[in-house]
Amino acid sequence: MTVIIKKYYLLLILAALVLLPLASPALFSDYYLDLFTKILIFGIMLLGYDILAGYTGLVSLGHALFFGLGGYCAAFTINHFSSNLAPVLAVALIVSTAIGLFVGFFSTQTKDIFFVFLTLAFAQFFYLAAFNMTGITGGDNGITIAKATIGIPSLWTTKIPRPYGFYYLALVFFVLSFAICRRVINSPFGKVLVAIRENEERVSYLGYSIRKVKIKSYMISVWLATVAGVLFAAYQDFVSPGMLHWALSGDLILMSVLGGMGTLVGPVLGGAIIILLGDELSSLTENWMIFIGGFFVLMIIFAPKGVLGVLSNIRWFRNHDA
Amino acid sequence: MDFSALITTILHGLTLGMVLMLVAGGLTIIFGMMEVLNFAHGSLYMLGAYFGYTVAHLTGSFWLAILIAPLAVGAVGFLIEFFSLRPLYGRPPLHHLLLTFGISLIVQNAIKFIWGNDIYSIEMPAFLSGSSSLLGVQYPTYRLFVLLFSVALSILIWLLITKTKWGVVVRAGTEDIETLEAHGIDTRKVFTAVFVVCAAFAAVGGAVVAPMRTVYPQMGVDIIIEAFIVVIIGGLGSIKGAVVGALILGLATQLGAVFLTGFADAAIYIVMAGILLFRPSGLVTETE
Repeated sequence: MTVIIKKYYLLLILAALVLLPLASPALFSDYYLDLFTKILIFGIMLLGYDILAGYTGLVSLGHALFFGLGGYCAAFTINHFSSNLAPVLAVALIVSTAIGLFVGFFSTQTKDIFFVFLTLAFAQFFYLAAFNMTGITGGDNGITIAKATIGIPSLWTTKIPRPYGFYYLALVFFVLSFAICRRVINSPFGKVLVAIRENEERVSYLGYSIRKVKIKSYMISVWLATVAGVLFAAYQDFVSPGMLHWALSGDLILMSVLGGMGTLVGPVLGGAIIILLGDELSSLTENWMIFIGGFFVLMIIFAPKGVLGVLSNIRWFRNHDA
Repeated sequence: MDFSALITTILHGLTLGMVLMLVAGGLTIIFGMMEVLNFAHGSLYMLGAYFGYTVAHLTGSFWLAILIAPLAVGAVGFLIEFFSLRPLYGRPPLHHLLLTFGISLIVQNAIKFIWGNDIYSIEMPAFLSGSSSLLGVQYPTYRLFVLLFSVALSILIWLLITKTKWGVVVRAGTEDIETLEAHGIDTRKVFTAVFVVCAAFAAVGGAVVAPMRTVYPQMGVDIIIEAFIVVIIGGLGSIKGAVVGALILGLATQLGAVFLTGFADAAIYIVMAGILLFRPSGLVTETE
């Protein structure tokens, strides 16, 4: 079963995301603007992750690697070379493409649970490198980053204004990523991804090179995680090894499953739920993850298709033309 | 590096490996039987340590601690198996991994809620403190005890599995669960029993290392990653593989600490990546 949300609803959500912050600070205070900026940035990564885990069926426990890599690339480029977001993104994408191809090439040799742990091994390796090479990365203390700018050099540049500038910047990147991912999923290539998830052997009988397709899918998720990492680091003015830690990869899985894997919208929804719920609950108790854990366990037992799966069973949300 | 330092490092490695075996052994048996990747196994190990601490703290007895901790954790294991794993048998293994990941979050945060973020330790019995000489090296007696104790427990598991009627059922279960069912054995009861026993073994591990490794809320996550690496490099579901994997990992960690100073933690990941690249299904793969 695939859940596809009607275009109509998506445009409605987009309009709300564009207009609400402008409507009134009372409705959408700086505090919530900050949370929503984070939701959008995580959303970019979750979209890519869904192509890999949800559609291709390759669950990686090492995706924080590229989020963190984007962050550290941003830190080095902004602090030593240029604060302009365009070259920063270019550098980060070049580096992550190289490392992504390397890790992707070896990881796709394995599948299922072995893929989970091989990606974990590669990611932890980089985490420990960032943690231990204090001379370069500042170790556990991380690196403080100068303010990032946008614009065309020598013509017009500006520091990205907060909170609105970053929010809309994240929104633009998110909408672009969403459009690209939807394109990919609806393309013949996207169908091959799903086919691989369902039955790899049969797809190989059709003459597809499974390995190549998997690496392509992997790279899409790598690029989006890198973009998210760059934006997140620039937004926080800070990177630390935490951005590379496997717990963050675990959160990605948590968010994706909670929202509903293989739906694009689901994981983003899951991310929003966990970020917002976490924010509400953390004012209640510092061990709020106990509730998330409980919620998650119940979802896995009773609704493994996630929140979106539950919603799609309600008639009002159902897609009649799919 | 001189000879005695090498002996010490190897002994450290063996101790670590055998402790890992108590967790990884259960992990691999549970997977072999029920196709469940139990991410919460580290949490059971951690609960063992915390229960052990509380018992030792209240009664002052170390021995009572390592006796009661596995019983209490066995009960927790029963609840987990009965209420959350049971409804999920037959679903893809990933669901179990995710489910138990959620359970580990609950346990970890419940522990922080009950015991706080403090670091605890269990006091070791007086006659096990200090050091003894072995092969010309002075080695902490308690570590030696942990090594022998874990070896003894592992042999006990091995005897249970190879020599008893119960073991025959478990081995048959890891081979072919449907045939086992066809022989009139209630596999659901077997699953529960296996899960509870494996939980108890993990708990003994947690309680027995507490005097040398301290008790803290992250210990469950730390050990589960290592234990998973052990079963992955050893070959999922293989008990022999778990022994081999545990010893490799224990030695790699300790030798890494000596030869890769400042980068020691990476040793296990290098070993795992290396093994998986050449043997994508682990070292010991049983023929189907």
